[in-house]
Amino acid sequence: MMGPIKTNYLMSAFLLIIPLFNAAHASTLVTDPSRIVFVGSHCKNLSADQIRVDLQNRLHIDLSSFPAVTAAEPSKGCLIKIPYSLTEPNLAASLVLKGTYAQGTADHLTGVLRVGSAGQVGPASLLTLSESPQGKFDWQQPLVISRSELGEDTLKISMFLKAEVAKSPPSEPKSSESSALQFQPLELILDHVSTRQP
Amino acid sequence: MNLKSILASSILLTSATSFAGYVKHGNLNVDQDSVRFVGDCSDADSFVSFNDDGSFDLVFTNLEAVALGSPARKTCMLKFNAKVPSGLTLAVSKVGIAGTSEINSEDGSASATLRHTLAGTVGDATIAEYKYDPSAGLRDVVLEKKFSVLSKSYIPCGKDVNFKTTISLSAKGQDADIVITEAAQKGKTYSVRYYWTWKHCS
Repeated sequence: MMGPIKTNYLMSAFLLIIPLFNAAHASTLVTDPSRIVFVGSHCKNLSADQIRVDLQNRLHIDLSSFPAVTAAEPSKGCLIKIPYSLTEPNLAASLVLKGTYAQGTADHLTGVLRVGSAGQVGPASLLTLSESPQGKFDWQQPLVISRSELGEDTLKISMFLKAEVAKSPPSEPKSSESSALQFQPLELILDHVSTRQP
Repeated sequence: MNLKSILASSILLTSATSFAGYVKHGNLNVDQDSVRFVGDCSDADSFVSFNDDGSFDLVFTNLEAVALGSPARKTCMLKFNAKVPSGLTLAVSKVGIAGTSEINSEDGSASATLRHTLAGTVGDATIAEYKYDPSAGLRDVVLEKKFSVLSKSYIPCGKDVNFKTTISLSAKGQDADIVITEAAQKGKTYSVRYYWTWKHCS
């Protein structure tokens, strides 16, 4: 079931570069997925074992081992650094974050996806999950990327999830809905399309 | 061990570690043992990741100021020592911070301040301030600052780097929140990126 998802895209275009892993593709940023770095204690279980590239050259990062956001631990975050080599200045790309959530009626779940590269801290795309008590989210963010300098760089993707648990009066016991609160990312997918003109 | 692997090991040792306890990131040789997070942060919730060019990224997973009537303030300092090669000096050329803010009361406001100190010289502050805006909701906080040639402070030639950066968050009002993060609303993460400018000196 797809719950109501409200997204607030704070940017129309990221001035970034997207790496992919196909040496044969003219626009591809040939690099080694095993050199991807995960920064932060919440992504300590992530490694190159969770990374794969599919036949369409999309980069998949399995986040099922990323700890879920719960009422007891309401905030989680991770920074992923992907080395790449840019071979052309303009690329269009997309970033997809998939996962599941469950929340009480007055709880509030939010997510932030931020993409940056060397030379800049990128803007964020903000996700708010509300109304529906549970469901899946499939959060897609288009990226239009350009850069004047080619060559080696590092793409940074940060992902932060946060739950605001509804506050109950002290006399009232916590509802079972709140205690079941969960916000679990499952997969991050990086895709790209070359925008090079023939 | 064959000659090839000995050579590879030697190159690796030379390029990765110039001094005991020091790790080379570009021209910067960082004393890993000197990296400290002080104040309302610690190495349990704050992480530094150096890049090949000597720049670095920070992630904070618990740096947030929340005001629910009483004002709130959080301060976190990162400090480390480093060596630079003979004949080179450096200055901070660019800094960026990122996070989110949400202000839900008319009397609410929030701010973030970033200031660095390089070899005893205090740099210009980078400040972001936010007021109540009923249509804003959760707001992205992104601040990037480039230091002009005139405002750059280079360390004295031949002097080692003693670097400090301080992040201060402030929230006031009945319902105001700011998190400087590399994502995550109210959340607890923060990213800072520093870039160095190098020049020859004598």
